Amino acid sequence: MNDVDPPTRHPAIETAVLGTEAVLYDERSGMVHHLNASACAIWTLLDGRSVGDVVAALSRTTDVPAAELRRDVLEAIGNFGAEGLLTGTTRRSSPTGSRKPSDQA
Amino acid sequence: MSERFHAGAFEAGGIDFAVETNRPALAARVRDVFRDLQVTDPGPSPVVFEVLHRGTPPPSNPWAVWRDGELRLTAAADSYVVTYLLWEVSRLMFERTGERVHLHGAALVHNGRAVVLAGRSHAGKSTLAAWLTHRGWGFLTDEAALVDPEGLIVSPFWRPINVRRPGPLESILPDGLGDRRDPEVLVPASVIGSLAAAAPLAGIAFPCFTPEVEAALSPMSAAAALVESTQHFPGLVAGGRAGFRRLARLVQAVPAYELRFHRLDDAERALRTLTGAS
Repeated sequence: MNDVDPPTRHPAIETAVLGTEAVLYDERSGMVHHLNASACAIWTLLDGRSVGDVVAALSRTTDVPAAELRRDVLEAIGNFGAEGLLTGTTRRSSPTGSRKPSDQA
Repeated sequence: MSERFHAGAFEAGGIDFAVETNRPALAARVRDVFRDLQVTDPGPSPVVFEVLHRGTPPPSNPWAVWRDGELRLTAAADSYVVTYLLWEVSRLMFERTGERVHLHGAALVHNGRAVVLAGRSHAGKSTLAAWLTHRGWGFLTDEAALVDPEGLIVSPFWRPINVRRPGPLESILPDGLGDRRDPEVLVPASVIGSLAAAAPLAGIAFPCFTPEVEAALSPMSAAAALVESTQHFPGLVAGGRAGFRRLARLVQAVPAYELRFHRLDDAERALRTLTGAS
């Protein structure tokens, strides 16, 4: 369930898009997050537009009807929010796919 | 004031340092173990490490270490003080890495091209580095790979290789090297092979010692490689976003692989394919 609309990438997050995937670096915590192609496609659209506009944009690029995409988009946005990756959210969980960099020198 | 002995002038990743002590035996030991880092024409303002014995009768941990007058370690045993000094040297280099990416890993050269073996402690980096050096690869480092993310050149840091004992490398170690009862011994790479000059990076491998498997290189996506690299990139903590961007540029530019291996010979064969040789 999305509780942030418009969902927007937090400015503390650095995004590296690598092919169809992405890696996020959270400079507040030092955590890194690995996004698969689907999550990456959604993440890059979270620039302040509404959820409806995100779904519409994805629908245009994927040729999948918006109604079919909406639930997946909301779920992804909910996950981003749970990680504290969006403005107005704080990290609530310690899911897989996130890693704290080693401090070994 | 007790007499001082100059162990030598050295260079690590372009940074000059000197080591002084109040015990001639330690000066000789440092000179021997750090022989590959020694320079004849040091810069004008080297970082100075003082490694001082705290008197007679000696306490159980008699050594203290200073860096440019700042106390870094108050009590170290005979068997640990040189290992600690090496750690300080590595940390010094890490602090002054500049725009280079410093990966926690070994780097070796074959066929004119460098391969970085990045991994955690006990992943097999140093063992592989020593073995590859013994097998004719040029040695760049066993622990701290310095990579220019723009030119993709790996610079040397010829620190002594940290070899664990007993282990698979006993047969290639020269006699009389350290105390056989010590769990680790620092081995200058030039004792078992050749040192290499800076070389272009061919690829990054993440070694994983896996019992009973054939050696195999599995390609990783750039994103997976970046995530894995962050685990071996201490500069991420200090460098923040800029460090992350440098690392991302690096992993985008070169292929990365997971290397599972059981036998050192097989691992070497697999790694040769990264350098365009079979």
